[in-house]
Amino acid sequence: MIPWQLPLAAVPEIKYYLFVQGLYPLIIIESIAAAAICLYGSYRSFSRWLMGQPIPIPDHLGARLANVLRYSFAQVKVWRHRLPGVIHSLIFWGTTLLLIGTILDAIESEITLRFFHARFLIGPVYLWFKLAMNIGGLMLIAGILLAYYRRARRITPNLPMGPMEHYMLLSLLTIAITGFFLDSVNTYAYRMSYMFPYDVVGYSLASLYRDLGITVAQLVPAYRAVWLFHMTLAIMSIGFIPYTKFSHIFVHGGLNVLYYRLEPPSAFRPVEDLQGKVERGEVVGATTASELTWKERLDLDACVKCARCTNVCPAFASGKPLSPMHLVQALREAVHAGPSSKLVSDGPLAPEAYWSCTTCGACVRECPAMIHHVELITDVRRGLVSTGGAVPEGLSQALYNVMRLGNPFGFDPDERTRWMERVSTDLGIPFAEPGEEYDYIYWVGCNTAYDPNLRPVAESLLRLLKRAGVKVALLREETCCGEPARRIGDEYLFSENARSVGEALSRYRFKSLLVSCPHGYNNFKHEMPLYGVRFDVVHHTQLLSRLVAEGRIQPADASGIRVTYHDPCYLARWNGILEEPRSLIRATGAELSEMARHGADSFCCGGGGAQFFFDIKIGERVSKIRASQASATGADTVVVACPFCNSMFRSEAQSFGLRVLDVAQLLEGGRGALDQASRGT
Amino acid sequence: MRIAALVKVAMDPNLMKVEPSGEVSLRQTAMAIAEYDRNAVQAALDLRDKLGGQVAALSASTWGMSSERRKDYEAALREALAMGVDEAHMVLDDSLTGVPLDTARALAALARSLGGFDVYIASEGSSDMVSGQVAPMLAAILGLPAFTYVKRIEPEGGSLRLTRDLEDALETLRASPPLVMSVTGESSKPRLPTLMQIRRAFSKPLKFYSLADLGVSPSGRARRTALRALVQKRKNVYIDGSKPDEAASKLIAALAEEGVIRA
Amino acid sequence: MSRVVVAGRNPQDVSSAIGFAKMIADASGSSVVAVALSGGDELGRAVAGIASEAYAISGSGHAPELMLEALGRVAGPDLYAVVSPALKDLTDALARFSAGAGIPMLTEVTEFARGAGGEVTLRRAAMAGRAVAEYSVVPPFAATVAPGRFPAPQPSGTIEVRRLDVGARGPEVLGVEPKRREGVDISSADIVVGVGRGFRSKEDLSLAFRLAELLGAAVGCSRPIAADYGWLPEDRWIGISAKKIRPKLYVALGISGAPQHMAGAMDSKLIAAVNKDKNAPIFQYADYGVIGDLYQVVPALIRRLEELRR
Repeated sequence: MIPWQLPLAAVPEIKYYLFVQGLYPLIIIESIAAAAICLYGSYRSFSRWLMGQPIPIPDHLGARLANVLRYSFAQVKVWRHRLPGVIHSLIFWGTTLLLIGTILDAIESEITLRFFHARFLIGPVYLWFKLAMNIGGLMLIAGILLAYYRRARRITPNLPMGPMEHYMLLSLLTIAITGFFLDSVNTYAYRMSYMFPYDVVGYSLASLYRDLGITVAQLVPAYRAVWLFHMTLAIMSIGFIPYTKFSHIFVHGGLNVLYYRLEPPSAFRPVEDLQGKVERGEVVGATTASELTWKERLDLDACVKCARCTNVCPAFASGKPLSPMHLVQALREAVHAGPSSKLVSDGPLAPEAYWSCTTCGACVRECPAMIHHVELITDVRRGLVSTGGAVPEGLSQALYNVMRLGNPFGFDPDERTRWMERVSTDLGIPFAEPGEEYDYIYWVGCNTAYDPNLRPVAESLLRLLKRAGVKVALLREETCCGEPARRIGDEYLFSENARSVGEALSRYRFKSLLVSCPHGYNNFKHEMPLYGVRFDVVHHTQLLSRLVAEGRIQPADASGIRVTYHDPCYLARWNGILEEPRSLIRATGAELSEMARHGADSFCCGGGGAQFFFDIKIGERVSKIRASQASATGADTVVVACPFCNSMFRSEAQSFGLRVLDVAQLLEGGRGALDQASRGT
Repeated sequence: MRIAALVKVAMDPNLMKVEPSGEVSLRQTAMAIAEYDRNAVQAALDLRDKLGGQVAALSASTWGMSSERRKDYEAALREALAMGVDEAHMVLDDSLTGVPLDTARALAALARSLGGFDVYIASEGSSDMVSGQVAPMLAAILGLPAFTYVKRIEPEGGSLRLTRDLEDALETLRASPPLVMSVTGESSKPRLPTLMQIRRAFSKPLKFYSLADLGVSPSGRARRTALRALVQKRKNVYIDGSKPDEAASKLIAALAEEGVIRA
Repeated sequence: MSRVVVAGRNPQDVSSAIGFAKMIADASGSSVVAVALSGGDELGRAVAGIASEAYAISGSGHAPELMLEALGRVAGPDLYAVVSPALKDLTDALARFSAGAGIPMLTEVTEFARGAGGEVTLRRAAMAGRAVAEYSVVPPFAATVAPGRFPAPQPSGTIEVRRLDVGARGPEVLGVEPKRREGVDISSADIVVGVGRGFRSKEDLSLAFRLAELLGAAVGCSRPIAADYGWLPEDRWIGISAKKIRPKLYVALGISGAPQHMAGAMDSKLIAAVNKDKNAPIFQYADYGVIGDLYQVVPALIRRLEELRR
């Protein structure tokens, strides 16, 4: 019978506390104890996160609550992986239904009924309510069984399965099963005739008792025991939330999403009061737990060890001593150990772990708990740099070179100038002059400007632009853009460098800065503005694709050639530029075979995060792994859009029989460019 | 313990600039602390950390240009201060032309004017000239024992246990301050200073002196008359190694052509 | 008659610098005086016919102080020059002697010429071998030279070696630990294969040894290989503070080309380099630079040479 066809009185009212007379005070005591335990735990957590700072009041509340809806309730990041998404949502939404139901139950029995002698879980509402509770319980049980299946079959690598994980799954499973039992006895006792199909599980169990000839009276002792157990387990599980991984429901689902940054994650957080810290001789970055930001400490507690970060990490995949999950867990332990505990020690917190990061951001993209691993790592790197800690020699040297010579490699700056002068003469590209107005100033970038293998990329690009009638100029004052310094963790050098770059550029009039290096792109677009240096910036693939679309560039023909395209982390993942380079490749008629990991899910070439400037010599080369992925597409040409990727692929090209060239070269030279690439010029 | 680290502001061979005349450009070639002198600074700092006291960086110009390049001399010394040295003193005088005897005399006068030191630490040689004699010369002038090419320094009671790194042996000696030593490039792994450390060291004392201030003059027995850049005689032929077999054939053919190997 | 004193720890040292001493003596009309810390008759055989006096020290003690004392005794009032091979203890002793005597000194001199008015012109390498410094010096002066740089005349006849009793009070020597040697002399090899930090393990050096075998070369190394990792003994270390080489061909594998290393290799007639870092300074010094992974290029070189040798 359909609920709304039932007369209101036909559905019995809930009989609260049936059979459990005398146990009520016990539950009250437990609840008070649980509340106290929970409050104390929460207090401890908050004081650990805040370490004496006041809790900031969130701004832009609308946007923040939208984030909570998106990430916490709709679980969009959890759903990036289907099976774990299904499991987590079954458990989360199932538990949520049960929790809401239990709260409604409690409101009726403890408030409306007690004080107003009124009920609301009556008639059809009650039946729907029962149905919802059944669905919730079944979802929960299904989710838990699937979770065990996933772990038993090791479907997700590196997923921890310790006492905590067993506790979480088994406690929920037990609560769900005992809940169904309690429900079935209630149904058996007084509401058999109304409960099918709404209380499908309870009714089925009750029917079983009836068929077996068990009487209600026979069930009562067991009922009382199970009731007490169920209630105790549920109440205590809630009480202990701050001490278990269940805390992520509030720490992550609530707080850390609420306080999640509204600026893009690639605008890596600057050091607060940098000048003051430098002047006062304080640590810049973090060496101890107390030097992390409160939000970082909060984020660490949000980690649920889902291993997604570790499973996409190129450093981990190549056998480097970095696993983002273990790093986060170890940092969390450090924070729990107290404000003065060190963030660099051994094991997962070894200096090499921090220095293995390519800052590719795959972990950040994956993390359903919204942790920004790259910023954590950068903060610790900053701490190491500012306190003279364990910084690899190559990186100290790179910083010194940036400071002294304006490039991280240690080249004589005259070499850049000489090449630029040659390009200027040969291609007729002027140097920027004050007073003159340009469409673009091309910031070539150190990598391209010094490397004889990469200079042709810039030259191709400039020829294309000249042909398209774009007014572009070179910058005599070009120097390091500062990106390597920021990745290594020398924030002061970065900020000073940004200031002088800003001063140099502000002498000229131009619409946009043109870059061919995604690292420079991210730096000019998101990072330098953090220090007040703002210029409109465009990556060459963006500009070229616009010019092709406008018909101002006639793409060269590369039809019949099969290529694969490697998405640079700083273009694709950090900045979402996926389509422009692909449109250029298509415009040449080349056939594009995608690698399994492409687009925003790209796998790092191994050159980011200052890895370019030193050799960690542990495990495999990341570049080798990526080159083998490229080779697996069957294409023998890798098209790149980043000088770092270009160099990294070149270093592996021979072993995999790959040709490497930039989008600009393909666009300008078509098949001819490929032939040149194969000749190794 | 009063420790002096001897620091040379050297021309950077990797950034050498040449005048149209063919002379190395003293005006344009970048200057920095001589590479191994960072080891001397590091050794001085390590010793201070173990025994307490103060470290002063002592320097004497060898490249002239005292007014044009004063800023560069200063910047180089600031690096020593950024590494942790407490104060820096430099004899900056155009009549010093890099004759080691004169350099050593100037340094000795500077050290005396500062009241002398217990331990003087130089490096085994500077990256631009590698003369390698200022430390023993300073010792002779000051009448102190000299310990050259020291690889390891271990304080032992009131004395030092020093290990000299010679061509064919490691020699361990007991030495008591006051003394002069030179340390090798292997003696430590000095850290390059960061911009922040340099900025933070700006309040430390840094003083310049002329030879007249110190009451000494060059010996007049020797002077540098030229520093000629060698014409780049290397061929700088690049071979792309991404095709190893091709590259190998090319290289071997080229070397055979040169007549240095048999092909 | 003015004197040119040539000093060595032993007769071999003296021989390695006596060519230089003789040249100065001939140019200045001086006689050559040889002094060694050890070596009695052997010293006599080494300098006979070249030196007019020879002294061997009979005392024992710490080399630099002994030599310093000895130099004071043999220099005399009409000293024109003191020379020695550019070895550590000798450079030390000569420098202390010069400063004490107030005479100028230059190390690793490559050229000597008599100038006007009794002055002499001395030249030496500077700027990691990229420049030559020239000095005008009023004798007497002190100088060191790379061992064997100036060929020594053939000794002939006999000379009386006089014992020099010196009682220098040097420092207390606690111990002397001889270095591991392999007896290879990379400084006189015609072809040297140098290995650097580009090698990932000691075992991988076998690649370089195989290549050296095919080329008939000696294997040398850069500082990290000998000093930091200890993969090779120090007598294979090429650099400012180690061995200097003068081969016809220097093949630098995985060597970045730091000035300290290059200063020991600049005299190579031809330099070939393999390095995967195209930014490595070694390429500025190289005649032929292969930009590539030595782990791929060296095996290819070995294959090619094996083909050719077959």
